[in-house]
Amino acid sequence: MTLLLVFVSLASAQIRSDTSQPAVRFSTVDVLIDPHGSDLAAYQLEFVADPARVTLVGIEGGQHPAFKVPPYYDPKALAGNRVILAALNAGTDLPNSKTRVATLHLQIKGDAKPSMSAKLVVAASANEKTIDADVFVSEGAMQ
Amino acid sequence: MRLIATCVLLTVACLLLVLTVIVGCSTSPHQVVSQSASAPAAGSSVRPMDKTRADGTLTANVLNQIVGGAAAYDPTTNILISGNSNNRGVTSGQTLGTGRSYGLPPMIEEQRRMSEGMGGAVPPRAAASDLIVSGQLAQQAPPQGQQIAPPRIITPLQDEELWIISKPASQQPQNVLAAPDDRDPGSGALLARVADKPEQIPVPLKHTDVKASIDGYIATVDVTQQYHNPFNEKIEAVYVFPLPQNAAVNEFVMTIGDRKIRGIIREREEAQQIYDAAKAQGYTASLLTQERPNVFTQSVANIEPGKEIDIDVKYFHTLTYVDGWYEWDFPMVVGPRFNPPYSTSGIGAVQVGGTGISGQKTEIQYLRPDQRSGHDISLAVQIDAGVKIEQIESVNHKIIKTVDDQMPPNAHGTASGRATVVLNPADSIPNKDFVLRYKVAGHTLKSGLVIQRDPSGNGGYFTLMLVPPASMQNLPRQPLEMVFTLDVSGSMTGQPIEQSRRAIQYALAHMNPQDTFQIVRFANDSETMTPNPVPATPQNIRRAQQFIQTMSAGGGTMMMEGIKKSLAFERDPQRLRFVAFLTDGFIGNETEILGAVHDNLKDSRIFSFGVGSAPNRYLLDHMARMGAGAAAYLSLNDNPDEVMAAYFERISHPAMTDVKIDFGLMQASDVFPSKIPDVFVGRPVILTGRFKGNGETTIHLKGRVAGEDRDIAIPVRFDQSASTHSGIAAVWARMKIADLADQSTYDMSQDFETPIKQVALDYSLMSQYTSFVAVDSSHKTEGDHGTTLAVPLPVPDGVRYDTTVQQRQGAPVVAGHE
Repeated sequence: MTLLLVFVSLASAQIRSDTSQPAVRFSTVDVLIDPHGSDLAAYQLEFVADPARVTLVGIEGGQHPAFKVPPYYDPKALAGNRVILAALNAGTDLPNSKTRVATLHLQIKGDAKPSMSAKLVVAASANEKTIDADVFVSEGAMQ
Repeated sequence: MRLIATCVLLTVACLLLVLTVIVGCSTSPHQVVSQSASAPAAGSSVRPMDKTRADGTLTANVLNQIVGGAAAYDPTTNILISGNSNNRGVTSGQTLGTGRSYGLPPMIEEQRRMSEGMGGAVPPRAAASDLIVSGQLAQQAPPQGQQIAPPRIITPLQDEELWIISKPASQQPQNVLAAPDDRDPGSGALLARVADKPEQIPVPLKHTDVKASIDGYIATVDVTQQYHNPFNEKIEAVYVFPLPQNAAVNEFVMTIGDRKIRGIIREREEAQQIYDAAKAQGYTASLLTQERPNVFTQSVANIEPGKEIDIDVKYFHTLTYVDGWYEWDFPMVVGPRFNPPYSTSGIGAVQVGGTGISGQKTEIQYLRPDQRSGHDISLAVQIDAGVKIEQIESVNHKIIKTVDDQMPPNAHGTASGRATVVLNPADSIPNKDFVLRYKVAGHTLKSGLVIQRDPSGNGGYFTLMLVPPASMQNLPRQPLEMVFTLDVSGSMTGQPIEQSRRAIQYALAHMNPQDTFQIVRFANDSETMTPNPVPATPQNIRRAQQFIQTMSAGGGTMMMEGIKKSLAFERDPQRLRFVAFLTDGFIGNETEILGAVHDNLKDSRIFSFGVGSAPNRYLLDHMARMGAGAAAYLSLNDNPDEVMAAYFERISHPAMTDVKIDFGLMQASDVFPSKIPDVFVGRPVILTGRFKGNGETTIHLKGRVAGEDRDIAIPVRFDQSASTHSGIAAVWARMKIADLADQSTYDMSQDFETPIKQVALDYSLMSQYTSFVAVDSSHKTEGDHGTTLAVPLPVPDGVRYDTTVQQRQGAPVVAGHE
């Protein structure tokens, strides 16, 4: 009987340890820009999250063919724990409504949901004019 | 009774252990993670977490928060914000190469320039290789379109070669290498061979595609490695591969289907931790690490059955220019390295399935001569030389040359300044360096400056090619003490040592009577022909010829012995010592050797000759650089007489020494190499640095030639009309890292890791302290991380397998090839 109790105790301890949250997990965040009817040819934005908890581990391109290529990041900014992205398309097939311009692949430490946001530095049209635009971030959907 | 009780307790304990393991397996951490990390279902509406308008007061405020003012430049982030909220983030309009004017932040402008890089058709993917499958594997092979299972063998038996080796991570080399071997009965990998046809080894790397664009003397190279998983279980692929030692690797993209994920530069340990965590949790991930400046490891985790994953690596580098010929190299295979017995941080060379037997941190598995993998390579080079190309040659490969359609070809089949070279598909086994040489119109090469402007608009980066004056060729040289040091280790067996012998024979016949000479050979130990250098008399030359002929290759490459014997003996005050080092450089302790060169050099000059089809160019180039000499390469297809004649031409005239450069109005700083090398006839020197300002000036190259002061004026422009290239900053950063790394081989008093790491992170560059990592966090694969499979390499063309590759004790004796 004692042995049985020991077994049950050990087995349940094993289950508990396995169901605990991992120290790190991976997730995605979509970055969207709404150019409000203007052709979006270029943008630069900063993704803001707690660098102690959120680590950028990949950058995927966007939804529209014009921004399918993953945007570039500024390495000097990244070395200073800032994520600044930029992309440009000099073509004519450009999005003019809300579109996902990038998906950020992240490693997140801890269980709590981290705060994440984006700040648009500039959005521009093909004729080199800044345009009115909004930026959004949204948790990406797991495939 | 006590015995019975003990037995019962032990039995119960065993049962508990087994049950606990079963429970543990059935609730794997990966499953738990999958539940906890689940995200909103696909197709759910976008839920904004933050919204920032880019117009009006709100945006202006946000911008002000970012840059701390209404108009500011942040050099740390390259963000330039100027004007008011109606002109946010817009620089003054710049007219760029395409004629279009953009008023965008510097980072976007930079990206636009990069996107305008090389074009050209993408070579088709390789066709599926014709695998010959029979025996057990054939019996297991599912119908077309299905995958086969990588066999699992967990417990190795003595003298048994393994398909898969599964060990705790702590017991494995850093690069866990496991690959199939066909000699394992019951492994499921037994492949029957058709007589006279090589045995096919399935590998997770299907194809490598290389596209290079050469603009002047700077190359932009894109390398795509196409991984696949032909098995019915997940795998991790590990591939150790070479790149040029001066490659500034600054871009890394993982492609899964039509999705491209840009890799991120991270400190090496952090990148490794990210990769390990992603791999353990079932995410597809890739990691690029640098083992040597010219040796890298690519790991790709969680490749699902039937899936393909491409890894794109992009780099810039400068070409070499010698005697009218530009040379562009692309190494295709890492040669098998010898590591001294005390070393554990080297690169081991082991048989397929021989993981761990070398005891080295990095290991490479090599295919036997009768084995082939399906991995092949395609390569295309676009050349825009800027001046007329007179001749194009490929040293080791068959090529197809095409000319610019708009211009009539000249007598040598090339148009005026542009040409395209494609690797002949019949020569697609990656077992030797691709060496492309092209000769530009004679006497037209001049010193030249290429710049890349800083996004701030104030100065930028430059490379300067310094071409020695032709007048130096009219001056005679002083008497020399010539040392010929020959590597006679096992890897030099066969063609390489024959090439070396012929080269030295030529040299012996062309010394001046007033010269003295010495011959040193090294393998496991070293030996000199005579106790001290002897005059170049006919009698001594005959003696040397006999000494060379009696040398036979074999044993290890204790290069340290060769270095000491060649440098550490009494100086002849009447003669300058020139040491010609002939070796393939197949060693794993490069840092130690370079440190020894520095410590023993004094006023000697080292001229390294890389022998064979895939020499260690990092070692050879840096030995020469540290030895104030120059490197040359003696391929198996080169004429040794011609290579040695070029060397004699080089040393037959005095070099410009004590070189200093006055950059005039450029206000140059951070110029690398920090110690400007001597300038030899026919060998331009390439410098790179930073500059300030904007305009034109005259650079003065000052030095001493044959005891006389020389001052060479080089007019340059560093204004808007200057020649530009978008890779100069990366080239500069890479040369700075190389300079610091060279110093670290002999100066133990300083911290070089911190500055190297900082430069690499700031410029998104690979280094020994930084790595690229990419994770696909959007999709979690099922099951654990799968089986690790190495990509075994062929030994380089002309290198014998049996004298270079470590084999498991008891493994069948395998004949080498030459």
